[in-house]
Amino acid sequence: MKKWMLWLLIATLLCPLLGCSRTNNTSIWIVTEESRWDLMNGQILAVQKAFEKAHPGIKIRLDILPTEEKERSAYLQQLRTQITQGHGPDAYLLPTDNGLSLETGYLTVEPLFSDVVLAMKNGMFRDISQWYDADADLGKDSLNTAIMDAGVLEGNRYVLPLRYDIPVIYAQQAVLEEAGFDLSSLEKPLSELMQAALSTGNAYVAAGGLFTGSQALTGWINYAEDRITLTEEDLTSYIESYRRLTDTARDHYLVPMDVRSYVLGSYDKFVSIFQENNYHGAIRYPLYIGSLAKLLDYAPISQYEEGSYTLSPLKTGNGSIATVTYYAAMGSGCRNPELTYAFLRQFLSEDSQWEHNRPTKANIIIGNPPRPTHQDTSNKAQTPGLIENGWPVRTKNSLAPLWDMRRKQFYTSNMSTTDRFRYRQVGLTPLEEQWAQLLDAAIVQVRFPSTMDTALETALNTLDIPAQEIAQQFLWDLRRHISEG
Amino acid sequence: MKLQTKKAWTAFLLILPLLIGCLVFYGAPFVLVIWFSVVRGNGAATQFVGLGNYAKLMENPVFLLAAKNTLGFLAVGLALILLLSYAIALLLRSPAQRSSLLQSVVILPYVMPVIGTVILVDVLFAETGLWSKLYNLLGLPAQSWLQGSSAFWIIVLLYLWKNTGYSVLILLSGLLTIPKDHYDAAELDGANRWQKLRYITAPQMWYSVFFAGVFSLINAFKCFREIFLIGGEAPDESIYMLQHFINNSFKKLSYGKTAAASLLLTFLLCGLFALCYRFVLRKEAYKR
Repeated sequence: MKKWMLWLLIATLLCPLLGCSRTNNTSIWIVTEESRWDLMNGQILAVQKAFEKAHPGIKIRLDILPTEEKERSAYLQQLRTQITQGHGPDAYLLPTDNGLSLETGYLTVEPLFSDVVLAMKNGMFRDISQWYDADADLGKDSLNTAIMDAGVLEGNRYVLPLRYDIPVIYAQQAVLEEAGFDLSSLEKPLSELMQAALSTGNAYVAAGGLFTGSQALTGWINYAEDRITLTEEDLTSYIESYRRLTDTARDHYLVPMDVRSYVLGSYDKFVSIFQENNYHGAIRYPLYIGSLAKLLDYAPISQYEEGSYTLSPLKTGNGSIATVTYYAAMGSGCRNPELTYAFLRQFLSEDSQWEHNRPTKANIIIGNPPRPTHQDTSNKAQTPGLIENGWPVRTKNSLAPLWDMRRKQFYTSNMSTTDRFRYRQVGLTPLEEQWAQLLDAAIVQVRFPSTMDTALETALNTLDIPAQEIAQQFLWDLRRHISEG
Repeated sequence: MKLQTKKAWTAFLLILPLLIGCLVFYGAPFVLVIWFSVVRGNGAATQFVGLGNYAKLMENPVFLLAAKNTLGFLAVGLALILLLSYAIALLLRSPAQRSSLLQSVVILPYVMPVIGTVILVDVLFAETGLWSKLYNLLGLPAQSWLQGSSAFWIIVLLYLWKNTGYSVLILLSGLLTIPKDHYDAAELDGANRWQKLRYITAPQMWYSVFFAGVFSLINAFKCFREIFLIGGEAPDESIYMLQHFINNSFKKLSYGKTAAASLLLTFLLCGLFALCYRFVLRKEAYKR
């Protein structure tokens, strides 16, 4: 080979190495998950539009993670490699749950971060303390302090919680008392409440005592010491109680899991079960442990029916365990932190938190709008409920504006005619301030749900294997989760 | 001298493209892994922690379990495969000299696709597999063979079945290079079979045994593919290996742990390799 050809070959090999990628300071790269059109995606688009208008020359690059399994797996692999190199996204706006509620159904996906706290510990997020602490216009006094503190690790703020949840007991006390339920157990930990539900032998009451969130368990993970605080005895006891309640509830009633776990493609089946059993969410359960967001369903009904329901937070010890359901964080490879923070803080504003900039249908539809089907989602109605099913962290004075938003949804969401009529009646009722006490419930611990929460739900619904064996397997998985993360 | 320098430069230029490729695709990533093992976080959140990641790994019970399982698998698997393949190679020595088809047959399990192997294991040892059905027929209690301590031995069996043939070929080629005259001379001196094995065969086979051991070690790590397909990312405790720990840590973006675990494994293997090679060199010293 001639020498000049050899030098040419070497130069050709070296050229790609010497090529440099320019950092772009005029764009912000955000990664988020898919949601329904008017939920978080809709809100992010609204904030994006307003931000780009206020900052000419700045572009927001919004990447919505794919939901198709293979495509998602490849994309996550690529993204994780970029994060390793320090060229990851500037910011993340993500739900903590690994289930997505989409137009076509509920979908379980592999999350980008399997555990937000572990991601904080591993340095995936940038410390934003300097910008957050200096932000005097944010109105921090109306943010829920306990929830916001969950985004702080070792004195540094890495995460901005945007939405949270606490489990709330919705109880028809008159009906429960008639069924022989011990009403004092409503103020006690879940284990005692489950026993009280079981002792009635009533399928409807038993179904209401079923709760699968990790907030049911006092112990979970101590991230500071990298150890598990959940004991095998507690977990085995919980699984056994759950099984006994499920057996009591199964023959006579749909347990909440059956209703919640409708899968892609069986939306029509879900609707037929719904109509056939004349069932609407969990309204007709005399006892139901659900999301704080359901306050906007039960409270007006209770008022309209003159105190038919009582609402109280599920207690674990001296208070409740809360979970962060949606959060914002700045990536460790962020190229323009000041601008990125300026974008992220928009999601803590009153407009974002209280859904003032949530997209709505141009015309309010009175009557029965056709339901979107799996094949055709073009006629999308307003999604009932709060964005991503979590209460906003700006809790002070939040009840009135959110009730106002919910009332508007009664006219546009997909309900049967009977339910819509009922809701229109209750929709006229202004919400009393007594319900705001729930927003001031004492919070003893705040958790970020991880893939282990989904694993717990799966473990609870595993049949034919002894409870102790399931508990041992789950604890092994929990140990792995914290050790590998 | 001038001509020698010119030749040296030409030679260097000729290997430079390969050298650049090796540096870029092997050298640079290796240096990066060392860097990741001594820091936490990335980008602007990078924090130098020194040997902190290594210290944490030593206290990590799941990592220690994975290391124990991996070393246990290597110790049991390598010992068994070398003994088994040595025995088979000795048995096949005479027939192999007559039939090259025999040599092709022993390599068949090695070339079988991974998914085929996994399907075979599933058909045999799954809860509804043939082995369980046999147990039921004999009136014995059914059990899940791929859970619990039995899973470890199934993986060892799988490893032996798949890779023994490859080691047999390496050892067989070593056996066939031993001059027949040595055996003839020994026979004249009245040596029996065991004495021939001990004083003639074994001393001349150390290099072959060493290479069979190295390739068996590489194949032992490749066995992770089968373990992964059988048990997934989270297999039973008894077959949870270092590769599971490293793979899962990477997916959970714990790069410090991933890098530290990978390097510990590399240093361990290099140390083992160095010890074995030194041993073999001493054994083969008589040839020099």
